[in-house]
Amino acid sequence: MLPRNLIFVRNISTTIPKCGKKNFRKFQLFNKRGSRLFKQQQAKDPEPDLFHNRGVREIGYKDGNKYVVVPEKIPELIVPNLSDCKLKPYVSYRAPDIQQDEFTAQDLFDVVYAPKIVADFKENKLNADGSPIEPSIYEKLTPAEAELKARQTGTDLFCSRDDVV
Amino acid sequence: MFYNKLLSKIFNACSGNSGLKSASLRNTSAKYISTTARRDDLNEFFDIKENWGVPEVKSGRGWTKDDLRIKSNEDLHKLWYILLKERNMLLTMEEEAKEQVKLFPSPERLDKVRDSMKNLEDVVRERNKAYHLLETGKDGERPVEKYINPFGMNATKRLYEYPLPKHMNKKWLENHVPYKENNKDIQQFQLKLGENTFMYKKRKRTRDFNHVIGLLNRFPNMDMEALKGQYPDVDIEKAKRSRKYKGWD
Amino acid sequence: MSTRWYPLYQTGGPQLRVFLPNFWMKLVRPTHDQPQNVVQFSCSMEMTTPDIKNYLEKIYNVKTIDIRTRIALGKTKKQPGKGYIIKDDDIKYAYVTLHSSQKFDFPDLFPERKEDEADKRTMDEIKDGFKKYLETTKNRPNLPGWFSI
Repeated sequence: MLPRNLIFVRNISTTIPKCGKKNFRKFQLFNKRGSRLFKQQQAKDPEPDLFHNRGVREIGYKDGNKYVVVPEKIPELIVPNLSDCKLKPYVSYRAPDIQQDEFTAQDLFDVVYAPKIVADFKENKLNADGSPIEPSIYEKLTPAEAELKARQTGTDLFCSRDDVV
Repeated sequence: MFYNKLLSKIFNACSGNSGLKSASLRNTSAKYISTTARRDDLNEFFDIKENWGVPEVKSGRGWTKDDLRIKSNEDLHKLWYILLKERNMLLTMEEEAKEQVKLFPSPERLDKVRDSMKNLEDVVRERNKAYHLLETGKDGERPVEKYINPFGMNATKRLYEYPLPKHMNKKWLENHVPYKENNKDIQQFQLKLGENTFMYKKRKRTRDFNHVIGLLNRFPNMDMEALKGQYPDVDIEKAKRSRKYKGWD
Repeated sequence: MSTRWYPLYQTGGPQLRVFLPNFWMKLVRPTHDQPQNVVQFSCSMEMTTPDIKNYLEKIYNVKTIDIRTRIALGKTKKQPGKGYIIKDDDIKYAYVTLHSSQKFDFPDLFPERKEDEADKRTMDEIKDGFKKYLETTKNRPNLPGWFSI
């Protein structure tokens, strides 16, 4: 991999120099340019290349001339009950220092699956290849089912590379 | 559901609200008398009245990752919203201070809250990753792929989900130009880029070599293991044979 | 509700849920005169009207009747000393209408405090001290203040 300062992707790109804080020709004036008549015409019959939605997530789709709102697309905010919460936004400087290492998949395994495997081994309830004779619900899952269950948690999909376009 | 059951088993067992004294040094006084059953609504966007127009507001430190790792999922979820409200309040006060040309007291609070929120997100990601790795073998994050961009350079891209397969997606195919090896301009560019990288590496090599000689001259009794660790590509014996080395071998 | 990435939605897919919203909102002083039950917010560019409604109702428990948004173009001005034109960032404003019986006035967040009067008094003390210094050095104008018997 090339050193960071030699990765010229941005410098060579033709769009990035076009947006900027200085130089009027670089200012991004989304949806603001044009006369009143022009904007009225665009509202009726929009040219797709000129419109910019500013990063807003769509909440429906366009059916002919009508916009149909899909309720499943409107993000539902899950807010817990904050009335009993004793946590504060800052931590006291008098609080003791905590040392806690990163939580890994190994730790999770040790807490969730390992006790049962050890118990099975002691009671000779394991097959020759190591699989349990009486599997629990979690041990019975196939890879496809496990993948489905993981998707169903509905977590946000973070990304390890935020600087990459 | 599954995720919650799995993790709340662990976290409720070993953490909860105990352990960490999370009281802040901020005054917690009652705000206005409101008629709603829950706490104040729009007045939560402002600081408490005692802090209006003061030169300094004392607050505790931000949350570190270690502080957050001992908390349960429910606690982290609640803490996120507490931090969010605090952030909104600080941003409101800062904006008003800018407009009125007055001093915004203790702006470091914004940095503390921002860092706390980043740490919270990282801890949540850690737990997410652990669960996904254990159950599916892949971390449940957005996939990132390495590819060769049209200029022939190594690049990474974050993948999107599409309803159509790649070969049928006309719009995608129009916008994504593949790398063509036989293009003359790209070949010339690659030659020049190669030259640039080579010269960079060569100059770095000589620079490090000369720097090591300088270090050996100035600090003859230094730790050779540490030097080897920091400059692994420099041959220390060769550096000692160089004309510029002033010491005795 | 957040800037993060979510799986593609297709018919029959699950409801999009957000646990950790990434958006901030600032309550701002209204740029123009507004009715008593209208509050002005400056919010993230990526927020939609339903997003703002959910945000206020769920997090702040504020019952909203109507929400209108607009994107204000940032002011362009000449960079002092350089001559080229610079542009401020665009801001998305949301005008939130509460119930007609509710009233909201943007308060004065920087009132005059009693401590400011104390500061003024010390200013007077400083002035008196300086006048005394001038008295003592009246007859020796070019010598430093510590020069004395």
